[in-house]
Amino acid sequence: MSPRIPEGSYVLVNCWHSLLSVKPGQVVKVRHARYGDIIKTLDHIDEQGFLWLRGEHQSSVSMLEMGPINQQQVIGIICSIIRSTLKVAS
Amino acid sequence: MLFKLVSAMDKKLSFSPVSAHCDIPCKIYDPISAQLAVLTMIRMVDLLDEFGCKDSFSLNDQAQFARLITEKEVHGLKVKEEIRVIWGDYIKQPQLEQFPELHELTHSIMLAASKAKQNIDKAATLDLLAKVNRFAEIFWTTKGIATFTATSPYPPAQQLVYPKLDC
Repeated sequence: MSPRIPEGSYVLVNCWHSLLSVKPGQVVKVRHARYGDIIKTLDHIDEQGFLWLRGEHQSSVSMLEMGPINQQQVIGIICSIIRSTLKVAS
Repeated sequence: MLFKLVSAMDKKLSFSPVSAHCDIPCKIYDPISAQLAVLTMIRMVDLLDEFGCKDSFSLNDQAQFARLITEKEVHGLKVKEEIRVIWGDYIKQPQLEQFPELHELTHSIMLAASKAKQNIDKAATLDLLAKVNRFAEIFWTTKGIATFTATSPYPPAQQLVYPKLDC
């Protein structure tokens, strides 16, 4: 999610979200079968109700590689980002 | 200021980490490299044991002895590195939930590899192979791929866990 969320940042996650309130463009925390707990931007929700996620960095995993996410995998919505002020080697 | 405050809270409360995954995951993981490295260590021990039967060492024997020891060391480090990469990069929460033994198994491989490096001890290398084979079995299972055990068709002819791949 660089440069929006630099490495070492803190994110406040709203786990009490209603699924109806998840909207494209929001950053969500999901439990991914291959990548574990991960935060990504919600690109869109398809006709079957699956969520498609995208990264924001040119080297991020692509939406197709990430695959569709079912709504039960959404842990919460990122409501606040406290950016790291530490200099971390990338 | 806010970051420092939250950072101090994190030290006390240990917030759960989450990845944004911005690196470039190549996704090429295969425990066979670690398994082959253990086989090499076993083979080196077998060759070193043959040396023990000699009454005297020529200059060439001494050079060969040094080479065998070096290769055993190098491949011991390779086992550790290959397992560490799979454990550190591939193994995540879903795999840990499926196989809670993974952390302990990985640590035991590190210890067993050190032990196999320290001595010319066939039993220690075979113990390491058993652990690495178990790691391979778990790895393939997490990917939904069945495994089978077969004897490697080359020295030291030990049992290896292989993935059962479709043609």
